[in-house]
Amino acid sequence: MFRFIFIRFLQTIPVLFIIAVLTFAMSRAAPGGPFSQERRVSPVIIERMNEYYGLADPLPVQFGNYIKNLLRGDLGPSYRHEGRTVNEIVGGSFPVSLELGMWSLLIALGLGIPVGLLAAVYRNTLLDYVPMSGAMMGICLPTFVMGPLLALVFGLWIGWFNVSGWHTPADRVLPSLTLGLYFGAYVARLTRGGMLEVLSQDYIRTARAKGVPEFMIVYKHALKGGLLPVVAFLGPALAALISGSFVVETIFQIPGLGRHFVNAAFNRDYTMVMGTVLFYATLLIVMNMIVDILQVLLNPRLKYES
Amino acid sequence: MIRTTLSPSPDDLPVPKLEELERGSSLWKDAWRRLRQNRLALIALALFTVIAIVCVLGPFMTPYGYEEQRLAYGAQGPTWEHWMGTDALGRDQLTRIMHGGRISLSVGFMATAVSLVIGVLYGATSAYIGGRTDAVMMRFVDILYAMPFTIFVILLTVIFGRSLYLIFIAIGAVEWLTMARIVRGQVLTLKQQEFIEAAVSLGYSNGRIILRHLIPNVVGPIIVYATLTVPAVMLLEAVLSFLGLGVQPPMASWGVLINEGKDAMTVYPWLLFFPALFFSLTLFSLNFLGDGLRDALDPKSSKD
Repeated sequence: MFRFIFIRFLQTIPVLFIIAVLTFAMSRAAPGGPFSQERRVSPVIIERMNEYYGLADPLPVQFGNYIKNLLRGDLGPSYRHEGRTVNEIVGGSFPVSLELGMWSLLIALGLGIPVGLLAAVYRNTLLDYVPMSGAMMGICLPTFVMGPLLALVFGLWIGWFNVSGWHTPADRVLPSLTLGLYFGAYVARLTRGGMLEVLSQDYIRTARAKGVPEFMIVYKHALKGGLLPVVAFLGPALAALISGSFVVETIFQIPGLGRHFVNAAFNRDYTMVMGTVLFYATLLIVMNMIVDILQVLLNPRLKYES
Repeated sequence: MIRTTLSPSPDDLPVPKLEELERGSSLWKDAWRRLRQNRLALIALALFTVIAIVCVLGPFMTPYGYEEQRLAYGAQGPTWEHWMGTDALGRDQLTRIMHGGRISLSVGFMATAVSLVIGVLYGATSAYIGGRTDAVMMRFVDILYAMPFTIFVILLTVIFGRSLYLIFIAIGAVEWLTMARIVRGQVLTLKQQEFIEAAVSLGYSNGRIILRHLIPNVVGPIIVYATLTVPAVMLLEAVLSFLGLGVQPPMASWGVLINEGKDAMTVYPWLLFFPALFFSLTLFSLNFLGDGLRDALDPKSSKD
């Protein structure tokens, strides 16, 4: 087990390095630099600024310096947000994205699992068809459709919530629902599928034959195995939550990391792009690792592989 | 390493049984029979066909051009002249939706085709050669899985400009991983069988065996997964468009139209409603069709 974790941990280092090289190369391949979009600035000043930030050095030197600073945990200064470091910006905006992600995940699991369970237990009845049609609709209403619709209906027409912003607790509702309902729909379908598969297994029949109450069969015998697909889904769901946060933070104008990343890419804010990409990549890799470990813990039939 | 995606895992997909392979084409007859019994999948197929025909042929029949501005008719709700209203510049919404559909659908299909070619060749080669090569090739796929791809696609489109071809290739280059795994899994079981041994003993080259003997036998799972990849690709393209990275104006994919509609929704809600409706119906039909095809091509994996 520890060997498994250790090996997986070692593997992340080259992966992160490759990501750093790729991102660096891609951001520098773009025409224009971080200062080229300023209002009229004389070429001399731009040259000075480039020199000051080390942007005049040859690219390999720049990359070497970046990695050196990175190893000390320093992501460098932002080129577009004057006087602020990337560490500060990420540190300030990630908690917002994290909160959004947590609420969404809570909604997704809290809604998806019970609905999927209900549908599996009452298979081929109204309690199956109606919620599952709802789940299918949820999958076909991606965040960028759902978000504006929710804002239109509950923000403008009914007026319960603000259309945008991230100030009051009520401001959390619409963005979290937008992201959460979409993933809840997936979770419901996966739960139903997983439960149906488990409920048709021999050991469930044995339990029924022994006269175990149906309630106990569902919650005690079947649930753990039935939720395996949901656990497996959490890894990719996290990646999708991140890209979903780009959209939702844009719709509701939330000052999270997703918006900072998109803006940084537009503005050629090199250090900001590098910093956010590496941050997201680390987050993804670590979370995928946790999901893998969870899966093995829940399902003894799987073996650790290195 | 354990790995799953939003898409079906290789285990969910049909494994052709030996007797089915021996019966040859009857697999397809059976599949078609089963698909016809699946009412939902048929409705999805019909719906998708209608949407596709409207988008492909519609622009020839409408009296309006997609960039034709008539400010005097700006921002009307649905009328007899403009069935889905007009935008603030007086452009006919239905015409723009049909043109946008051409872009969205072609992105969906072209990017899926790119991912199909890479994934199928990669997966089949890896499994067929086997051994250490296979281990290294699949390890590479594992590593790629850990990459934050949406981010890279965003970076690519920022850097190289908003070209339609770039979007095809960038998205296709991202989506081939799962296809490679599915095909590899299938080929691993197939390559043990006698007809491959026969081909080898006839002295055929590896390339010929992979292309002519192995790949034709995994067409079923490939079709199923490709059907489910198209909506995933369209979704990714729409996300890009939504973030302002889509095709150049005055062209507009559905994602661009939805984005414009969102900005105007307070005053002209129909500009959001109609493109969103088309987009959702297309996702809906392709998802149901994919589910139906999976059940049809592999009765064993059917959900109930």
